[in-house]
Amino acid sequence: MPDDRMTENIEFVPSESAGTEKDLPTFALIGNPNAGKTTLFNALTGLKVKTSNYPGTTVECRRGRLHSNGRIINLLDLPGVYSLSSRSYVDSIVRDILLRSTTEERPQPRQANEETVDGILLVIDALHLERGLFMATQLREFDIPTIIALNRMDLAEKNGIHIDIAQLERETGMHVIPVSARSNRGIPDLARSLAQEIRSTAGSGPEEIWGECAGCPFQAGYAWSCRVASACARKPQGIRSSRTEKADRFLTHPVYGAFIFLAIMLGLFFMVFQFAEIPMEWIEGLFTRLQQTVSGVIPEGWLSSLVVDGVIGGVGSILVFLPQIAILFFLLALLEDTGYLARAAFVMDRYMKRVGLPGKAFVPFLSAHACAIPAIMATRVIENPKDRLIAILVAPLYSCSARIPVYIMIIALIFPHNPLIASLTFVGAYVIGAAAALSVAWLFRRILVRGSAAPLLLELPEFHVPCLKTAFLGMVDRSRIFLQQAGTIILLISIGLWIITYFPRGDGGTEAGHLHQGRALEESYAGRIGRFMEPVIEPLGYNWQIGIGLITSLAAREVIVPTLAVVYGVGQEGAGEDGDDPALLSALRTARRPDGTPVFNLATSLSLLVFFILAAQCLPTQAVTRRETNSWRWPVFQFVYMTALAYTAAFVVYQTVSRVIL
Amino acid sequence: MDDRGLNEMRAGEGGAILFVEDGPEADALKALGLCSGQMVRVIRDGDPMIVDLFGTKIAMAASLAAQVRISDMPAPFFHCITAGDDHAG
Repeated sequence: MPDDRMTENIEFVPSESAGTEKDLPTFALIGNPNAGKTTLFNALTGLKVKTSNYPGTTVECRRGRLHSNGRIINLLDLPGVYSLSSRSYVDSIVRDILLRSTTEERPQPRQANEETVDGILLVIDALHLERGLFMATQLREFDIPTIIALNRMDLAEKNGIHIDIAQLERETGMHVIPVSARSNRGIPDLARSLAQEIRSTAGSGPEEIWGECAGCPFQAGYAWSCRVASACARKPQGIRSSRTEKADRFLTHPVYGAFIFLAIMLGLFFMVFQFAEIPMEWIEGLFTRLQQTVSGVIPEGWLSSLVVDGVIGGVGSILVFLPQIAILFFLLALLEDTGYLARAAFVMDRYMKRVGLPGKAFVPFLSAHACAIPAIMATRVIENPKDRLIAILVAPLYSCSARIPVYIMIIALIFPHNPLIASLTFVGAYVIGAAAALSVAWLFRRILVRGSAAPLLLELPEFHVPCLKTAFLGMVDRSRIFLQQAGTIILLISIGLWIITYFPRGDGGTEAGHLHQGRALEESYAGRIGRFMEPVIEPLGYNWQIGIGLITSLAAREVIVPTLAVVYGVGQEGAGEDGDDPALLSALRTARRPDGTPVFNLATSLSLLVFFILAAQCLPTQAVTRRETNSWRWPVFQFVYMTALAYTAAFVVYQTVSRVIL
Repeated sequence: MDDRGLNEMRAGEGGAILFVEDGPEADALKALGLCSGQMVRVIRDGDPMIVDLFGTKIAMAASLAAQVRISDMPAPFFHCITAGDDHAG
């Protein structure tokens, strides 16, 4: 029976505001990527976890608190590493944190980004003692009190592996606590130990080696860890990995593996769109009701419009994607926990290599078909910073679900009576997006960050049943980042866009209803900007009305649909749900240019479609790019190159089609 | 002593690592335990390939595997042979 008090968590207080914060002991969780560190962290801290970039880096760490024996302990979950000696970015960041924390010379004035830790909780997978014990050798030089959590003990026992804990403690000189994070076994013990004084003894430690490998920490460390592992653990002969190996015969096969991967991903997306439908309707309904309620309370005027159209409408237009994002994160976390995603990276590597990207980029790219924001967040699986940067830059080119209403509107406009051509155009839009992403990645490899993708090197973890709790907490965590990162910027953008579409306000003229709405928008700053940029967008076949749509859709692409509805006098409610409302379509079809020809002819419509496939019409994406690259340079670059690409492609399409057809 | 690259080995073959050639990812290979004295067995050959190292599976590009030099000689002094892995026999 797990002791709930031990894993109970208290309110998280951000470090800036808590006076006693620095007096609390901080333990860093360190371990191999597949040692079950996240699950253990969750078991110790519970829900109140703060995920952020480690100050000044793009490495993510999670902070939480543990209440034990009347003490509060800060836990810092650092990214998984295999060593602290290599030159890799993540290794060096973890190493720097530990170097600052070595007991002898702790720098006195602590700066905000100069965090130190008081102890280490080393997480070792009981099934892979050799690799975990190697980490113990790596930690010795830092001389920081260390406790070993020997995780997955239940699985080890099930596999008939017997581990002599007492001998392991003697050899390592560290306190070893057998746990099973999934079933909460040993967690109260571990919590108690963390609250006590930690005493390490010398232990045996790696011996000096001679010959070619003299001075090599890896050779000496692994020689020691293999000796200790075989001395402390009794394993039965060869039954453990046979099931994983059998499955891998198909899953990592160059041909079957690729098909299985595609099938799994198709299933995953089917589930994302299927399960998200109902909660998305709820959120839409909720925001509509909220708008109605608020407009009933606040008297008509600018304040009411700000709250109803600006804040609620604007935020709602992005929040509606939250269910898709959350479900996507949940399913990906489950899939990752089974061990399958490592296989997917293995299988896709040979294909992705051709455009200069690692196999691991494939999952973020697939996620981008739901939304670029989770895709950019998911690029964290790519260790190499250059590879990751390219993946971040091109991910928004994949057709996300915010583009669907725009595609539907334009395609319904040009091919109303030809479902076959309409569907082919729809599929074509997706193909153009994917082709553009891969071509741009290939190009960036040649001009922006030269060299080839980091060669594949990854551990394929044993297959096991995924932990629902870890996946659920991961989903909550990611969704929270989405809301914080995208949410605040969306609020700002919504208010900004509201200001330019609402002001300046004349006396309203004499028209009523929808005509008045359209006239007001025309006279607003947005309308003026639209007119001002008309010469720029005219070569693409757009008039200033479409120009207004290009501005408002910077908040979220699908906003162009209600904007055009307002501009063409149908009213916002005329936009319908999916962009195929008959009132809107007929208004767009009858719209005329000054010379009497239709506005939305084939050339303009195709040009607009191509523009929306390629353009960076989504400022929240840039906000997330800024977070993930830790600089303003890349989001600005992303916006500029995508807009330039979209402009050029739309220009070519318009000029070609209008010359060929007309 | 004769040595060959790990990338030249076929599925099912095993051997002891003699040394890891210098290269950009040499540290990363060693950090995973692919260093002098360890026994490896190839599970899937080709590029990328999969090898077994003390019961864990490591996937790697053939270009990296080429840096890992394998001895054809039996190597009685290597600790992990007795670690109880299924290929140790």
